[in-house]
Amino acid sequence: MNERLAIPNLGNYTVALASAVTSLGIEAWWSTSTNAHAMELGKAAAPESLCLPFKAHLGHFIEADNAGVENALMVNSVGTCRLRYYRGMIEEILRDMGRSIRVWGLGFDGIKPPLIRHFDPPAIPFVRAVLLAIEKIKVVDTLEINTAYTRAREVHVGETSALMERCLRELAGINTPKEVKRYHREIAARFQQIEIRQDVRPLKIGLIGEVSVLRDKLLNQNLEQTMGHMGIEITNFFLLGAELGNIFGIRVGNKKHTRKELAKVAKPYLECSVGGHAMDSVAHTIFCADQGYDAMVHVCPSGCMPEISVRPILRRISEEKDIPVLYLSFDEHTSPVGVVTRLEAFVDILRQRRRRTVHVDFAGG
Amino acid sequence: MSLRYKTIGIPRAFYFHSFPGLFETFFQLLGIETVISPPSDKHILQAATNVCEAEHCLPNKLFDGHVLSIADRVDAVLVPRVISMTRGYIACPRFGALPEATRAWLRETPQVLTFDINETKEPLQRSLRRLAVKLGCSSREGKFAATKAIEAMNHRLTDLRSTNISSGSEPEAPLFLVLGHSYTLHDKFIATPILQKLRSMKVGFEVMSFDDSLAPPKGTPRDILWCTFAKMYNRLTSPGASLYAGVIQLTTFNCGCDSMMMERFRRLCRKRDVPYMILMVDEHTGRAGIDTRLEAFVDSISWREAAGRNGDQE
Repeated sequence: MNERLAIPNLGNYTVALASAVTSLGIEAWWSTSTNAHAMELGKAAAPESLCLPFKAHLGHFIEADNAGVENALMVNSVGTCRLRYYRGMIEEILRDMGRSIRVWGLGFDGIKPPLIRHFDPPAIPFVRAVLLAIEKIKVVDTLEINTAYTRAREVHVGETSALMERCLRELAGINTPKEVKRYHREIAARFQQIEIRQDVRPLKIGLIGEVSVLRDKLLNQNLEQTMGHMGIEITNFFLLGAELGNIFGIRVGNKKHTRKELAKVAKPYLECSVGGHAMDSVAHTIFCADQGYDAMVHVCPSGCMPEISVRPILRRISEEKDIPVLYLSFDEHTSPVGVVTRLEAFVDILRQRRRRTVHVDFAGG
Repeated sequence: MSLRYKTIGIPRAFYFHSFPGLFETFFQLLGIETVISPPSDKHILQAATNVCEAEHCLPNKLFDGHVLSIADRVDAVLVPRVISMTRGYIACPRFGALPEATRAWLRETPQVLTFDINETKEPLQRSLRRLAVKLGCSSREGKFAATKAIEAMNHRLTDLRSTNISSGSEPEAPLFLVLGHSYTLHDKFIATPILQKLRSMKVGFEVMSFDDSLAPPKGTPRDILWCTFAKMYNRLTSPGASLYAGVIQLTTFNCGCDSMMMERFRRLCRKRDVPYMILMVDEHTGRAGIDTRLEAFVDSISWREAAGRNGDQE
């Protein structure tokens, strides 16, 4: 009998992870974003002051257990942030609730991670599965980049989002690295078929902050799509392919600034990596200011230790480099309406600002 | 040879309590005047809210308030970057960005004097020595001052350990363990009302102290990497822990590490059948609420103990 494995939500990247697991003959239980029901379950079971991603993951696994899934996979961290303890805590809470689902980490306690030992896949299919996941991650990176560009310019609002969903569904169905590669090459052309306005110059906004909130549509109240439909071109600085490339020193698709480069950029404002993606947030803000971005949006779960601790620094950069930053903290009470209102106000100000600078340019020229 | 700064300000928050007496002694030996901010109170917190990030934890807000209270009297404020206080362990991630964050809201004056405290990488004495060189002293002077300062700190820590235990009025009075960070347990705003109440109730209590003897021995799996929590965990699991009638966990609003670890300690205490109470302090905490909760906790434990004793006799 095949055991099933619940996979944590990594936004659209879950597609890649799930197909790797499936290709090993393990049935994957997954979705691309936490659903509201899972969130409610997580909220009820988790300690009150833990951060939003913890509750989301816990709820997701409770739902998986309700569905009879036997195993769950939880991301591990070796950093300084609370995430390090999340797997253990989730396991304990689930056990206290009398649930039988087992939570596996990706950590090592010997040569093989315990998870791999449990399922014990043969070596060659395992390597193939990893390669498949890497290829798919590259595709998702490309999808994300194309979506951000097209969504801000589309003539018929909603077309890009629909195409994105369609592509992800199709991608989930492809099972060999070779076919994924072929699919990858087609993507650009498919996005080009969407009718876009050539004459507009959309506001460019960089999205920085904590990973789960950046990537999970429920946790961030569908921030990316909301902004896209307002006609803003966003750059989400969390691309998993690039991130993995940084961690393992191999290049997976799109290149990102390496840790070393980021540290160099951030140095005048922050000399320590802090933890999580705090230094990335600082470095990207400086980087975007120099690249002429219109603004930044910094998102994190309320109470996130690394991200909150760098906010005073971001404020200073914002002032000195003249780049507006909007700070959004998300918790389980955040309402989509509140987020939209704040975004609209922010965007209004940015538009005014751009008009003013253009005006000054003309006067000066 | 001239020193870089004439006066250095030391905020009475965070690491000031973790390294008692260290910085004052060190700078005095180098011939630099030190200004220590006054003990925390409502005004310091009030002042902090104007400059401080809204989502910071209470100790961090207090820290900003302390910096502000001495900012116009000193040439530089000391904000060390505490990465690790015990070899092999780490401190709260908030400390990593603390010097830069302070510099970010302080603007140009006073300057922020910072150095890394990272026991995992190098012993405290060497870090201090390099700080002395940075300040314009010779390496030898630095070494001397560092050694003396560390001695003074250890002396202070030993003294603290004896004052941390307050015995009750009668020998049978229950003994409580008060858990928290050194910067919450020794802060006047956060802990003093609670400890005063305990004292006035005439119960015995021991305030958590963080000496190195509590650090887990080498080779044990490092499940908890935060050094203060590893020490608290050790204290709770040590054989002596059965002496405590109850554990009072002192925590502050929005403390990330506490939110994780309290849950673990709560489970641990439940397993060992030790009553565990969490007292959360925030900016608005009224004393009455804390008094009531402490009284209720102490009362119920005395009854429990009495019931246990009667049960034994039967």
